[in-house]
Amino acid sequence: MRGKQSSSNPICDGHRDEFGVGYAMQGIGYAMGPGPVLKVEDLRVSFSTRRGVGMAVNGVSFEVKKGETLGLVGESGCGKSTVALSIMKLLPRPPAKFEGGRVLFEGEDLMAMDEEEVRSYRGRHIGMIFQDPMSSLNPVYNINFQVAEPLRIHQGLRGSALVDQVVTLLRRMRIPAPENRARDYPHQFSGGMRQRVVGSIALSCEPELIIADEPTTALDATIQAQYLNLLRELQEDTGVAILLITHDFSVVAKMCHRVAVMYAGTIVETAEVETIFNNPAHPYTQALMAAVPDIAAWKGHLSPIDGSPPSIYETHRGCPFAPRCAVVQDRCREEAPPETQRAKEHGVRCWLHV
Amino acid sequence: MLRTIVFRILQAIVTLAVVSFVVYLAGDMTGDPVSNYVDPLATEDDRLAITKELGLDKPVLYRYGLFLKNAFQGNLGKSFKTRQPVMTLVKDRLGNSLKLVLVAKAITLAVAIPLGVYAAVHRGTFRDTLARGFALFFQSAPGFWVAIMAIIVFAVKLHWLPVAGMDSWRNYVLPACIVGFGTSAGLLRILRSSMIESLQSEYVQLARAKGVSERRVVWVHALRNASIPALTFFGLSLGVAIGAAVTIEVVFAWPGLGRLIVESVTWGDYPVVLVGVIIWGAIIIGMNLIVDITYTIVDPRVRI
Amino acid sequence: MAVSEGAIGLPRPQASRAQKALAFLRRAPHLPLLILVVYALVAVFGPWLASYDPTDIGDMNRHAPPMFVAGGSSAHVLGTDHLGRDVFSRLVYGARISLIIGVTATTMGAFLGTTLGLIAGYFGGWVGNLIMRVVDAMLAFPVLLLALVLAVTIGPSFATVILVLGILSWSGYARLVRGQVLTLRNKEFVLLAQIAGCSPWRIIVQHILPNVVSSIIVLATLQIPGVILAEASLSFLGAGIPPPNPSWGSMIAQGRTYVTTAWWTTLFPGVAIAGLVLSLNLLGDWLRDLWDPRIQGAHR
Repeated sequence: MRGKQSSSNPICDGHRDEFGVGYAMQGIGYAMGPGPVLKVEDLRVSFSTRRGVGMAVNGVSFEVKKGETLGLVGESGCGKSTVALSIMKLLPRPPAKFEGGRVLFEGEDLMAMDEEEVRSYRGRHIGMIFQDPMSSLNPVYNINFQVAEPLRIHQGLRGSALVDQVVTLLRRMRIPAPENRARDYPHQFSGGMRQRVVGSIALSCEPELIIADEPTTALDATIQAQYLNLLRELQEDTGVAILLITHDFSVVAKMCHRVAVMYAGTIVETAEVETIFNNPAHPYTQALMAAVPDIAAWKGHLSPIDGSPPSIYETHRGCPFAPRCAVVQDRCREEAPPETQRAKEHGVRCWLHV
Repeated sequence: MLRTIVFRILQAIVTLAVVSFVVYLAGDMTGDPVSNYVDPLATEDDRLAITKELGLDKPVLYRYGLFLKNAFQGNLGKSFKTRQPVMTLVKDRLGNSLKLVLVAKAITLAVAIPLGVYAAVHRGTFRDTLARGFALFFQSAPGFWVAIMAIIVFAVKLHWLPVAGMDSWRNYVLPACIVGFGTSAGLLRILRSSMIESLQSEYVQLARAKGVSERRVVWVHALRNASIPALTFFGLSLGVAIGAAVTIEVVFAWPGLGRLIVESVTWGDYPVVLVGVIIWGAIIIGMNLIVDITYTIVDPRVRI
Repeated sequence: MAVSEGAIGLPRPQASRAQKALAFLRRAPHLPLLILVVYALVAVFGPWLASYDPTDIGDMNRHAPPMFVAGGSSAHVLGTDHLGRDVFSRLVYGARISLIIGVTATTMGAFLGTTLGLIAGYFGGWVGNLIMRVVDAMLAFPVLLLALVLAVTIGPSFATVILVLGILSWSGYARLVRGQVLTLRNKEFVLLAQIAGCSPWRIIVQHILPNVVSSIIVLATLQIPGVILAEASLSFLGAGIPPPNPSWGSMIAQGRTYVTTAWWTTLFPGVAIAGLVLSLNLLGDWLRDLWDPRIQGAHR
């Protein structure tokens, strides 16, 4: 039913021809749906370990609209994967603890649901793609078993209908000879093909949202491009919203409509992709732009950001980026900046822009 | 696959040949078995006759070769002590021992799998400590001592279970449990740590992300992977169980092969000892071969 | 995954040897360590602790119950056995036997196994193959039965038990060491040493051995309890330490006949074995988790 709805309402057209920075730079290629598919409000997650209690996610808010790809970007350890897992309530508790906030999926708060209710969303309304295709498929079960599982659980498919659906899904992810390969085991596939299998698992129940946590980091560059193209095509066909977690700005440029930049458990800047690339407001985003080999604006040299992000176990006052900030003021060390709207779809947390 | 199995069987035969020779030599060095069985008042002629009857007048290597030749023809020799064919002596005893060891290994699995999984799922809690403590106790206390204590409590004082013999299933309870519990600790430990690893893996996370129930995640997705390292240990622990069964058979007067070997060793009845040790070795090697074949079923990556 | 402390080849922060040892012990599981220290002290200072000679049948006061049982007296704290020997004194001397056999047989096995493992791993070839085939054979055999046969053959004595258990426990070390040498052999520091013209033995002793020592220690700690249990079993079957020496295993064997009336002669030696073996197992598990979680002890 959901599938029909989205296919009868094609959202993305005309972006299949070429790909690269151009796609993202073209700006609004997605429809403004009635409401966001996913709305995260003031999410807080802590970890208690021997080193103490650390706020891994400290008041994160963002939303993902229908047919849109939101990139959640940041250095490793900034909490972006924690956000992804907490949306699905998949963090091991303990050590993780949900400290507050809401995760609204089509208006329903996942955080307020019990395990059983959340489970009916996992795999059915929200699909997930993990980073390492070498370890995210179960080595001892064949592909058919693993792709069929969500269909059995959520749609009650059995027998030949199930087999047909599995083959259809594998074909959709462009896996050659899906009828034969369904009986193969993960170790018989290449990394890129495995990630396609993971993709077909994520897509199996035609979800409204796919959370992709560094989906191409473990893949070779050429395979990476193929995979991202495939994801984009699928998004155009189905209108699925994608929350794309990455540290790679070339992936952001190819895939994302909007970007949320995360630093030390908070989102410091949210904007449309061309704003992030051309007109970043937060000093951290600016520094990131200078630090990555930006294909759109290659300046010939890279300037790394000095220092390292604060440990989540240290308590700090003020802006978490202050110790590394080039334009730091006295106020930054005392008080955390509030979020300010610079423009429509452009929010920043920095005293420079208050 | 067939080639590997044939290779393994050949390897097993060589192994058995080497061990049998060591045991044969050992038997030969124990001195004079004749004096154990001869009337102290017998004449020199009598002694010579018996030496000849037992075949002890020939050199060691010749006798070992003869033993091998006869063994391949199904003749395992005669007992020094009873003069009966070893085959007759060993046959029933072997069956009794196998029954005990197999029931014990079934108990090992029945204890170690649920407890190992339980301890992994509840790792770091009191329940985890309790499960491991149980297994660790039976691993650390000598089985024969636990057996004696259990007889006192459950047979002598409470009259719940019989003291010795093997007349009914009630006779199996104490010995099989003691052997089974004793070898469950290692299996539990390995299963627990591999389960913990498996439960933290990305494929288990993905299974959860698919909406698979936690019960199915644990028992279907995680356990099958975790059982791969446990399988090796289970195969190797068969030898440990058979060793443990020897003292347990002695305590419970279990008419098994282990007790027969112990008695034969003290009597210097080497034909029986030799055959007994070789049979146990062959059984352990055979069971490990079965374990290796089971691998290919559990883990599709393994092709033997 | 984070690499555990003390992992192969990691530079460690400089601290004095004593400080490091202290910090190390502080993290060790306290109760097992304490129990082991008590056992060791008892083994060393046995003659001062025991009020009787362990083989002294005294005034033939047979099966006197322990002092805390009706009819017992403080003359024999844990009672006397079927010959009137003091159970406590025998236990104290038994600790000596168990610990000496456990440590020496394990050391012997570790030395043998490490040497053969180094040879099999570094040189390989048909010698290495032969060694590994023998290891496979050893792992498949019921060690207790072989030990029994060999011990009876050689003739039960203190030295026999050590020799037999030492010889039969080398296979685990050989397998472990060979596996580690195979990976270390291709590490750059070994290749550099080879280029520099070091002799194979020098490379093995100076460059490879230090990197496998922690694993060997872990396996040895896990093997000692197995060896102690094996000695107890042998003595129980009458093929271990010959009487009248107070081995815990033979104490249980002797007490067994009278267990319904004089339970203390059987109970206490068993408790002594279980306490020692349990503490060693806990310590070994802790060491393994700390240094080398992949090692699987052969608990026999």
